[in-house]
Amino acid sequence: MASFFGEVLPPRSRILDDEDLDAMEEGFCEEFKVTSPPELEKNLLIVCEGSLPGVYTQLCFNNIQACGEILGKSSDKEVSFGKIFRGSNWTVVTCEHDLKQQEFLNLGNTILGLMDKGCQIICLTARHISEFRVEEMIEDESVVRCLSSKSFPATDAVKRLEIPNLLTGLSAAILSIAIVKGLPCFLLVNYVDLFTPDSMTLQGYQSIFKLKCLQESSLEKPNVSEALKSRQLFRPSNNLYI
Amino acid sequence: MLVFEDEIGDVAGFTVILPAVSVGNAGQLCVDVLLENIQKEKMKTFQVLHPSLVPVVAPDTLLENTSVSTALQAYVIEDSKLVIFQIRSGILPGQGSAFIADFLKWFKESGCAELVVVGSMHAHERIDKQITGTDLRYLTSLERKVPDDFVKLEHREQDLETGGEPNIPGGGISSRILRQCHQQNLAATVLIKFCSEGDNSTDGMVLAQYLNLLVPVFNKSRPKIPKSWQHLFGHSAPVQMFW
Repeated sequence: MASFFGEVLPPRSRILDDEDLDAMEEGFCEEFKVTSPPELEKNLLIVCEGSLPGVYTQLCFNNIQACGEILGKSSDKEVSFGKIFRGSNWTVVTCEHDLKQQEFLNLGNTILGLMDKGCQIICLTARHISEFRVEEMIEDESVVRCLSSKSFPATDAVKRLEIPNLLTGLSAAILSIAIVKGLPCFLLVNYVDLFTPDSMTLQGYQSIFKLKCLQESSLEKPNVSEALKSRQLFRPSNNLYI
Repeated sequence: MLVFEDEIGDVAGFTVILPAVSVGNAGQLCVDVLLENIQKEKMKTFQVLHPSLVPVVAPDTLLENTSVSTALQAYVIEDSKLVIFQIRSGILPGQGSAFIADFLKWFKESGCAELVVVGSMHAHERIDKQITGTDLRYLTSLERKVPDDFVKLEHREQDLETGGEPNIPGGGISSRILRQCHQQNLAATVLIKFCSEGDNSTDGMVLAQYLNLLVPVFNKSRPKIPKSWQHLFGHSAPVQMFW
């Protein structure tokens, strides 16, 4: 953006120029470590990218505190990138930290290091509705779409993401790794108008309870409005959509 | 290193086509056209992982089933002895050399015969004699027979001063990969189109037809437009805003 009237700006390019030194992000973490107990998850690993899925999954388990963290080193300081919650047959990893592009794959590999063979992976993410491209928009419908790896059990619980939409980020990195390594992974993307957690924006995630692996887990499908009220997780208080 | 989803099989003697992430994404659009116009039954698709690429996932545009595309894919067409790579995102800043090194390592170990890189160059960087005539150019690492009407990329003054290969501004990894192939005695050809950013779908089409003259990939005189090009620039504006 121009900072004053008459400023001449260099042309912006939509391609990523790997030789562009200005584009090289500084202070990204190359290595991550996990502080949680060493048992590997054998059943279900849920990865929440962003604040919305993180809030939603916390509504699904009652009063369980984080048992670990994912830490990364940035400028010689350890920064918390995510929290780990564990239940009897599930592990939830929430990551609300703003990630840099160089961190997606490394963090994805670190998170997948928490799981054992046979574990199913579910990635939850959110995108703004303006990023969703489709022939005809049905406005009344909450837009929730999915992609999955070949080894994830086939399901019609959620509509498949249409061409020509694509996703990047931590969830995309985890799904990419899962596809190449033959791991069962399901990615759900909730297209929302706002990134404030409320009953409307979180409703899309309820679809994951149509998946067999969620139904067989000890996670409970929440009543989103009631759960948000009781935990006072919505702000500001003048939000109509509690 | 390049990690393939499955064993790719014996590709010794195959021609490898790789798009360079370059101005207007013309190389990647060119590969979209190639893939759309090859019979699907003849192609085997492999997802490939490399840490130098921005990870992306998307529904596969070529297969009707529930396949997912990732940032890098390899399509093997055994009849035509081709391996076509498609890059659906970009190379992370500072990671170009790592990608080139790993890619050429795979190329050599697989025994592939030739590498063809398709890309583009900033149109505003053209010298005077490039402003008229064809927008298409080529470069090779080793001697190679090309069609008579192919024009070699001319040196610019800056290139003559440095005594090196012609530079390809906006060409992504094109010049670096060519230089590496020259140093390692690998057969490589770079095909370039001069273009500017905008709606580069025509550039992709023209580049695909240009490549088809060098390495026959498809049989159609009028290639089909790829399905993935729908809504390239988003939805049309909602009419409600004009009420």
